[in-house]
Amino acid sequence: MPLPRLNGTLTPASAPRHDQLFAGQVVSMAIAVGFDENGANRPVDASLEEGLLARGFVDDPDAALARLAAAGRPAPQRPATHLLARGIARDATGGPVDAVVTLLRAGDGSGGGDVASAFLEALGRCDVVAYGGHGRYGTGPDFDYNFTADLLDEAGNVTSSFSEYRDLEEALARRGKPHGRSALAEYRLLTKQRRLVIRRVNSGNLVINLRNYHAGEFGSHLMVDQLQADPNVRRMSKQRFDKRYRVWMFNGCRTHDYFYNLRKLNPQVNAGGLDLLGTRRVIYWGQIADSLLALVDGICARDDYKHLLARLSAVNASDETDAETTGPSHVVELARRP
Amino acid sequence: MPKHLDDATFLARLAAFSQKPRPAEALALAGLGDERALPALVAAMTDTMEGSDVVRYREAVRALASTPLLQRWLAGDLDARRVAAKALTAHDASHVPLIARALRDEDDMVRAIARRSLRAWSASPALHDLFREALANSDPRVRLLAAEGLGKLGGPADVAALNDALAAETDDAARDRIAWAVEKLETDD
Repeated sequence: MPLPRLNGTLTPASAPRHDQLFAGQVVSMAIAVGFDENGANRPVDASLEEGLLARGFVDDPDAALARLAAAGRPAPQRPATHLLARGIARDATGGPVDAVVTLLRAGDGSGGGDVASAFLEALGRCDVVAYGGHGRYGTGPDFDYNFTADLLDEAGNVTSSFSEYRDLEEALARRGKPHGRSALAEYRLLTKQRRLVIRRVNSGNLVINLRNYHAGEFGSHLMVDQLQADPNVRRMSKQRFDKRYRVWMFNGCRTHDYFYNLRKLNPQVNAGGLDLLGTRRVIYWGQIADSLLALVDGICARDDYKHLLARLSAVNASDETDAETTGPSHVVELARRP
Repeated sequence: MPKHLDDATFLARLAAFSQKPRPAEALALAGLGDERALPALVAAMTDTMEGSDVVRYREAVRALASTPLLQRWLAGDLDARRVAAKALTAHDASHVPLIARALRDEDDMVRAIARRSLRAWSASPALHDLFREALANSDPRVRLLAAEGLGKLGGPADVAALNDALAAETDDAARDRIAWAVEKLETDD
């Protein structure tokens, strides 16, 4: 039986509700960059800030927070970088609209739990929120390492240690090959024998979905196993949000995997209207900063969703020779219009 | 045995790969044995987020980046050192001295990349020695990883060094991990 899912659409007929996003002549946005075990998130952190400054945003947290307060918007409750751009957008009557962007970055992952908390808070507080980073096989955003896995010999001595899926997958595939076992079969066998000891690190994970939409990929099993076994993991379905209109974009690999659960399992966040943007294929770290900035540009330019998708696709070029990166990059899943 | 292309053809292929990386071409470029391909191969490896291509880019980087090559690049200019650091792995004992060197690099990005490599390793005497040495590194995150590694692959002979490190440690997270390593090795004894 196929897993339930919403794929989103490439041909949306409507636009973000700019009148609501721009209420009080200000739009509040949060842009978050997730974590990568190889440090690929670090250049994105820098490019994003440079891109915002180049667009006229200024790093003036006092002014940014004062602008939010003046518009009656909730104040951020957690430490972050706040930037302000005055008059960067126009409302329906041509009046100037200011934008406040809160930047959240996982950095070296050591404070991933705190960044995840700030991201959750921003999802409730801001009009527009975007995440750029690993999709974590459809499970949700992530702001830190996920695990350490120790491989033990028969005497119980640690012979190898791993902290990244692909690294572990390669080692297990190599080890299982002479016995005709796949990496996944080797993983199952060694964990059962307690010769692969996994210590999960889930404080930076926000779980949207625990269905495994990518069962053909080794990392998905490890990811889902570790999250399912963790009683303290933070689930998006358990979060409380007030009733208001929001736009969220998840800019990781194949994040349309998130749609079903965000729509079906969290009635509170959907009550005020929630427009979702996600990806329908694999994307690359090198395009994440441009994608997040494209969203800021599109919101400020009052793009309808068709143009916003085109803007996002333009910075995530399709590769017709590669099945994983063919076609438009992003899709939308829109809240029902009144 | 590496194949040889004329320079213009090689550079054209490299430019095309940099523009649009593909795993098969990565392996083919690595097979040519020309180290000028290393930055593009490393970029493809780190830029790829999910999917089966990642493993093949890693294979390509490993095929080209021999230990002597990495040693030379780590003695080179900043760009070369940053590229070479990304190809280091503590699963290869011959890389361990290079990681030790990169941990002392003057550039913080090179040091950060080298630090990350201490999170994944295969046990070797060289690595054990590196963990011992790294207990005194100036970065508490390195000291934490050194303590964690030593707690996993060390033995009773390491307890005194860990206790000295514990007495000197000023960082809470590193101190916790050193204490864990001491306790573990004493329990194992």
